[in-house]
Amino acid sequence: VNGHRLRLVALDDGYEPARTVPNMRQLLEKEKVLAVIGDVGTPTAIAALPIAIEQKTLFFAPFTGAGLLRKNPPDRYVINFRASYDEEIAAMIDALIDGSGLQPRDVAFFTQRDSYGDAGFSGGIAALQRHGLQDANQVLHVRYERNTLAIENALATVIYAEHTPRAVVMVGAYGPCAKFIKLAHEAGLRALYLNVSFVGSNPLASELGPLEVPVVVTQVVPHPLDSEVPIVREYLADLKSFDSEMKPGFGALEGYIAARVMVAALERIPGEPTREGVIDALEGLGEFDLGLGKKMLLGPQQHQASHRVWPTMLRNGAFVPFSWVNITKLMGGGESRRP
Amino acid sequence: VINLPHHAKRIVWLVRSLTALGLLMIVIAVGLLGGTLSAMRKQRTQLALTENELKETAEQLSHSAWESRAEIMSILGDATLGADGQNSIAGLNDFVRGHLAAQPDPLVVPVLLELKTLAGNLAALREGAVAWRVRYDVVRSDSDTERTIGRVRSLITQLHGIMEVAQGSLRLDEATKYRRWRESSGEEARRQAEAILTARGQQEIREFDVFDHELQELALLVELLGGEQQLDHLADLKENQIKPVLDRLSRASFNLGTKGSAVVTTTAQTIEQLKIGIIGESGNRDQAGPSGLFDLCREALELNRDREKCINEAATVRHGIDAAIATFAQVAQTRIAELARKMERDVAFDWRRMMLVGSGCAVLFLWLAWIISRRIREQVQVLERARAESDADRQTAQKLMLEQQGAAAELAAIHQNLRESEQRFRLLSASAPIGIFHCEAAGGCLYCNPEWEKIAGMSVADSLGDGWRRAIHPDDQAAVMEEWIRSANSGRSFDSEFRFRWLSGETRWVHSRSVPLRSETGELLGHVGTVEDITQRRQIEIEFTRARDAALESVQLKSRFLANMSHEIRTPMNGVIGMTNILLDTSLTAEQREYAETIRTSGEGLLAIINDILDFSKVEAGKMEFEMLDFDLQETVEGTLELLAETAQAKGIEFAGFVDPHVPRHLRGDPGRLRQVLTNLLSNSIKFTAIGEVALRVALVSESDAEAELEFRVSDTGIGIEAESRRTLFEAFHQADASTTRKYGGTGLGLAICKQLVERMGGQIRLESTVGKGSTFIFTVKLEKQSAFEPALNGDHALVNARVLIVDDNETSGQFLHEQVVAWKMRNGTVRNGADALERLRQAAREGDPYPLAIIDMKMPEMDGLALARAIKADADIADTRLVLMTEFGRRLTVEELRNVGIADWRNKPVRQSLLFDCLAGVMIGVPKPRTETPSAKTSRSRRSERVLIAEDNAVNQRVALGQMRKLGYTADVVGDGFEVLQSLDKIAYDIVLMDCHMPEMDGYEATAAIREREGAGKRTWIIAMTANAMSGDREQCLAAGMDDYVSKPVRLDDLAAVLERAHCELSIQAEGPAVDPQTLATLRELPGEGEKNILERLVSIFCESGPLALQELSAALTRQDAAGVSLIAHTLQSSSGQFGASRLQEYCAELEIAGRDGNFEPMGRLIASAQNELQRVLATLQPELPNSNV
Repeated sequence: VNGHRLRLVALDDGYEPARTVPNMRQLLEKEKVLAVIGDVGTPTAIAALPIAIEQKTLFFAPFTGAGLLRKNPPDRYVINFRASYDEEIAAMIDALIDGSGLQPRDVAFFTQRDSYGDAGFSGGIAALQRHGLQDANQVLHVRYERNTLAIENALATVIYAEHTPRAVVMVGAYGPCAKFIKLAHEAGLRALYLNVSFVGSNPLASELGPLEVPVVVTQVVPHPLDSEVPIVREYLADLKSFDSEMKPGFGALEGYIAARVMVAALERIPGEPTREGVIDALEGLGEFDLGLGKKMLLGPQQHQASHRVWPTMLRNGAFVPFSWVNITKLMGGGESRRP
Repeated sequence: VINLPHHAKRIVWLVRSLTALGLLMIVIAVGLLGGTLSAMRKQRTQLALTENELKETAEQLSHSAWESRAEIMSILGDATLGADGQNSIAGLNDFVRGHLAAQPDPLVVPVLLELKTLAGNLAALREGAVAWRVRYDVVRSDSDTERTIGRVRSLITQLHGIMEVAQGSLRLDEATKYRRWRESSGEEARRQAEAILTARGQQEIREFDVFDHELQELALLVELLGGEQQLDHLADLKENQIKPVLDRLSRASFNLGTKGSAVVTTTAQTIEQLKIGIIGESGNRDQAGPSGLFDLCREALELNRDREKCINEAATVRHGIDAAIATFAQVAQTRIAELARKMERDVAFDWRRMMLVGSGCAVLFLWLAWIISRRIREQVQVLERARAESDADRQTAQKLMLEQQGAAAELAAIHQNLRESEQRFRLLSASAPIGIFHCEAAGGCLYCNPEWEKIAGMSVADSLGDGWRRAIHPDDQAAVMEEWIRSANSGRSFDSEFRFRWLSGETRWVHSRSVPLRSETGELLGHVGTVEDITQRRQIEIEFTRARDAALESVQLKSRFLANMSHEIRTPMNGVIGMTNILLDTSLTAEQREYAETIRTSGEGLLAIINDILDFSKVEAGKMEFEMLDFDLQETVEGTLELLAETAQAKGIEFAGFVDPHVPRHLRGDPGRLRQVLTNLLSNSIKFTAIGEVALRVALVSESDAEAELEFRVSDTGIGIEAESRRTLFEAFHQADASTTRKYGGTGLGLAICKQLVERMGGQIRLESTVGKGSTFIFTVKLEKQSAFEPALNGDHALVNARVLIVDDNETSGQFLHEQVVAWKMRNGTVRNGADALERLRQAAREGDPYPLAIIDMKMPEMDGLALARAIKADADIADTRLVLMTEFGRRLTVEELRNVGIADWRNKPVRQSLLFDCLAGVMIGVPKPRTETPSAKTSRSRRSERVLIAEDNAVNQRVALGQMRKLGYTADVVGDGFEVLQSLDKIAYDIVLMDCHMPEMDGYEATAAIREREGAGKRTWIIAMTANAMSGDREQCLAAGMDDYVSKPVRLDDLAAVLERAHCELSIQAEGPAVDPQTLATLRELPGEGEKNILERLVSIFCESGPLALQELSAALTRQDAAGVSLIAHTLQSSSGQFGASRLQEYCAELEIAGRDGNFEPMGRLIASAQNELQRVLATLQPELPNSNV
C-alpha cells in the first residue's frame, strides 16, 4: 500500500482469555504492530481491550457483536466492521412481529448463562418492548450452562409453558442449540428457531443433519457464495488465487471485508503510517462503498462500519440466503405440521 | 630606718633559700609524676589491646553464629538454595578450633569447648534441614496436589452434569407426556393422565435433588480440605465429613434409576473415581497406587510441621550459642576488670609516696615563709605611726565650708521647680497626641490645645464658646449632648465614642472623656477632658472581625476536607483489608500468612488512625454530635470490656472491671461516646502495659434525682508517664515523648479526643502516674437518670447469706469479685493461692460452717485452677464444695476436662455481672445449665439460597464483595451503578441488594427509591446500604431512603455475615408464599375422576387424614428417640405432600428425613414444630376442595 508492504502477524489464543493477554503484549510491545485486527470472541475481546487502550493501539474489527465494544460515544481505539448482536436480534424480532404477525409472548429465548447470553436476551427484550411488550416477565426465557449439553431442563420448561412459543430465539453455542432443536422436535414442539451469527452456521448445519426443521441464522456479511454481490465476487477470486483448495465461509468473508476496509484507510495515508494515523484515516473514510450492496460509514462518532444483517435459512443440510419477506412461509411450514 | 641594710640582707638571704627549696620540690615532684604517668600509659595501651582483641573475638563469634542460623533459615525458606552453603558453619568450627589452639587463657577454654559442641549441633541441624529441603523440593516440584484437586473438581462437575442431564431428561419426559395429555381428549386423555400419575418421575427428580445437594456439600468439603492448615482437622475432615458424604452419595446413586441403567453405572463409577481422587486407592501412601488428595494435603502439612520443628531446634541451638558468646564476653569483661584493678593499685601506691615527700617539703617551706613575714611586719609598723599624726588637722577645715554652700542651693531649687512645672504643663498640652479642653459649667469652651485643631478639624478660635459643638457629627449630636448633660448632672465622668465631621466633610471617630470640676462646696465649676482620634483603631477592629470570619470559614473547610479525605481513603482501604481477609482464607505458607496478617493489621491500624483524625476534625469543627439515648451502663461497660479482653489476655495481662453497686444502671446519654472514651483509654493502657494488670472501676461521685456524676478509673501497671509529659498529654498530636511514638506508634489524637468527649459530657479527665509503676486515667461524666427504672436486685434470692470463697492471685480481680458478691449479700472470703484456699476450706468445714461455693481463677502460679479443683475434690471433707472456674478467652478447655476435675460451671473473664449471677445461682441451686460448644462460624457456612446483587462502582471493592459473598456461601452478581441495579432487577428477582450509597450516574438513595416505587406492595427486595461515610446520621439517611439495613465500609466479613443473616431471617418470614402450588392444584383439579369423586378430591380426603396422623407419629418417634422411624415417616409425608406441590412442607420433611438418617436429634423438635404449622396452612388451602366443606 503506497509503497509499504503489509505484514500479518497471526497469534492463536484458542478462545482462552488467559492466553489473549500475553498474545496482545507480544503483538503490541515486541512486534510493535500498527493495529490489531480480527480478534475472535467476546471474552477474549474483554481481556484484550484494556491493553489496546492502555497502549493506544487500534483494536479493529473484532469477531463479536457485543455491546461492550460499541460504546456511545465510541472508544477512540475500538472500530468495528460488523453489526452488533442487538442489531441481529432486533432484525429477527422485527421480522417475527411485523413480518409474520406474532405477539411478543409467542417468542421464547434460549440463552447461554453468561455475558453472551445476557447481551442477547437484553437486546431481544429491548426490541420486544419497542413492539409493545409491557412486562418483561411475560417472555419465556430458559438458559443452559456454558460448555455443557444439559438443555433438558430448559426444554422441559418450554414444553410445560402455558403458552407454547412459536419462535425460539437462541443465543448459544452450536452444540447445545442443535441438541435443543432436535429434542424439541422429538417432543412435538413446532416452532421457528432463530440463531445469531456467532453460533457458527456450518457446524450447526452438520449437527442438525437431515432434520426438517425451520432454522434461521442471521449473518453480518452476505452469503459467501452469493456472487451477485461485488465484494463477494472479489473475495471468491482472491481466495482462489490464494489457495484453490480453501472453502469459502462466513467467518472468512468477514475477515476479508475487514481487511479491505483497513487497506482502504491505509491508502489514504501519504507518508509513514502511525498508530494514531491509522485511526484518523479510518475515521476520515466517511461514507464509502466497497461493493457490499450498501454503503458503509465511519467517522469520529461512528465506529461501526456496517449495521446490516443478512438472514440465512437451513435447507438440505446447509444454510442458504433467505429474505425476511418469506418468514411467514417458513413459519407456515411449521404451522401446517401441527395436528 | 638606720637598721635597714642589715635587715634587708637577712630578708634577701631568706628569700633566696626559699626559692631554692621551691625549685627542689618542683624537680622532685616532676620526676615522680613523670615516672608514674609513663607506667600508667604503658599499662593502658596493654589494656586497650586486650580489650579490643576480646571484643573482636566475641563479635566474630556472634557474626558467625548469626550467619549459620541465617543459612539454615534460608535452606528452610522458599528461596532457591545457594551453592556455597557449607561455609559459614565450617567457618564457625574453624574459628573455634583456631582459638582453642592459640588461646591459653584458662577461663576461656571451657566456653570455647562448649561452643565447639554447639557448632557440631548446628552442623547436624543443617544436615537435617538439607534433608528436609530435598523432601520439600520433591513435593513442591510435583504439582500433584493441584492436579488432583483439579481432577476432583472436574469429577464433581461431571457428576453434576450427569445429574443435570438425567434429571432434565426425566422432566422433559414428563413434560412431553403432560403436553400430549393437554393436546388429546377423551379416552386418550385419560390414558395419558394415568401414565403421568403412575410414572415415578417426581420421586426420581427428588432423588436427584438429594444427590445434587450431597454433591454440593462434597464440593465445599473438598475446597475446605485443600485449604486446611491443621493436621488433626484434616483427618477429622476426612473421617467425619467427607467419608460420610461419599457413602451417602454411593447410597443415593442406587436410587437414581433402575439397577444397571446407564445413569446408575456411570454415577457409581464416577463416585468410585472421586473416592480414589480424594482418599486414595488404599489409603496408604507407601503403596504404589495413586495418592489421594487427602494424602497429598497431609504430606504438605507434615512437611510444614517438620519445618517448624527444624526452625525451633535451630532457635534452641542458637540460644545456646548466644549464651556461650555471652559467657565469652563476660570472661573478657572479667579479664579487663582485673587489669584495671591492677592499674588502680599501682597508681595508689605512687600517690602515697608522693604525698609523703610533698608534705615534708611543705613544712620546711612554711617555716621559712613565716620568718620572712615577721621581719617585714616589724619595719612597716614604724612607718605607719609617723603618717597618722599629720592627717588629723586637715579634716576640721573641710567640714565648715560645706555647711555654707548647702543653704544657698536650697532656695534656687524651689524657684527652678515652679518654672519647670509651668513649662511642663505647656509643653505637655501642646505636644500631647490627644486633644485637651477646659469648659465652664454652662459648656462654653475656655481652652483647647493645638492637637484639638487637628482632631476636630477647626481652629482653636472657632472652638471657643459653643463653637466646639459644630465639630460633632450631626447624627451623633443629640446623643452626645444628652450624655454630656446627664454626666454633668449626676457628677459622673463623661466617656463616649462618637463621630466628628470636619468642615471638609471627612468623618472621624473619636473617644472623649471628661471629668467635672467642683469647688470645695460641691458647686460645678466646669469640665476638663480629652478627645482622642480612634478612626484607625476602628478600622483595625473591622478588619479584625473580617479576618476572624475568614479563619472560621477555613476551619470549616478543613473539617469538610478531612471528612472527604476520610471517605476517599476508606474506599481503597476497604479493598486492602477485604482482599487481605480473603487472601488469608486461602491456603498460604506460614510466611505468606505472616505477611498477609501484617498487611491486615497495618490496614486496620491505618483505618483506626483515619477514624481518629476524622473524629478529631469533627470535634475541632464543633460537629461532634451527641445522642440522647436510654442505655444500661452495666451493659455498656461490660460490652466494652469483653471486646478488649482478648487483646489484653493475649498479652498475658490481668484484665478486670467493676461497676460499683451504688452506681445507677439506667441512664440517658450517648453510650457510643462513652464506649469510645473507655475503649480508647483501656486499649491505651493495654498497649503500654507489658506485665501486670489493667482495671476499670466505675464509682458514683454525686447523685441528684435527675442526674448522676460518675467517675471512671482506668488503671494499669505499665510504663507510666513523666510529670513533664502529663501537661501536654491531652493536647492534640502529643504523646508522652517522641521516642514513645516511635516505639508504640499512634497519632497522639486519642487522648485529645477523649478529653473533648469527656468535657462535652460535662466531666473532666486527669491522670495520676508514677514512672515505671503505671498510670491511672480518671474521668468524670454527668449523665441523666432514666425517669422509670426497675429496682435493683430483689433482696430475696438464692445467693443471700451463702458463703463463697474467692481464689484469685490477682488482687484487683479478687477485690472486684469480692465487692460484687458482697453486693449480692453473700458471705465472702478471699484468698490468693491454692494452698490458702485448701486451708480455709478445711478450717470452715471443721468449724461446721463450710463453704458451699468457691470461685477459682484458672491462671494462678504454682497451683492452677484445675489442680486446685482436683485437690478439693480429693479431700472428702471439702469435696462437696461446688466450684466455678474463671477462665480466659482463647483458653480451650473441653467440657470433659472440666467435668472430670469436678468443675460445676465456668465463665470467661471478665465476666458480665448478670452472667456471673446466673452462673452462681444455677450452681447453688444445683442445676448448672447444659453447655454445648457453639459451632464456630467456619463450619457453619453452607450454601445460601438467596440471590444477592452487589452495586458498587469501585472495581477492587467489587472483587472484595464478590469474594466475601462466595466465602459466606452466597451466589452474587455485581453491577456498577443504580441504573444497572434497576436493569438487573428487571431480569432477575434478587432477594438482597447490597447498595453502595455513592455511585456515579444514579446513587444508592435514588436507586432504592426507584426500587421501592416499582415494588409497590408486592415482594420487597431487602436492601443493605454500604457506605464509606462514617458520620453518624448516615444510618438514618439510609433507612429514610427505604433501605432495610446498613453496613459501614470497609466491610468486615463478620459484619457482613451478621447483616446477611438478619436479611435471611426477615426474608424467610416474608417468603411464606402459598402453602400449596396453585398450578399443581389446578392441574389436578382438571384430571377426570372415577365415579363421582375426581382424583383431586380423593387425594385431598386421604391427605386430610394421613397428614395429621403422620405428624403425631413423628412426635411419638422423637419421644422414643427412634431416628429410623422419624426418617421413614418424614419420607412418606414428603411424598404425599409433594403431589400437591406443598414445597415448604416437603422441605421440612426432607430435612427431617436427613436428620433421622444421620441420627441427629438436635434439630428435630424445631423441624416437627415447623412442619406442624405448615401442615395447618396446607390443610387450610386444601379443605375447600372437599365437596362437603363447601356447604
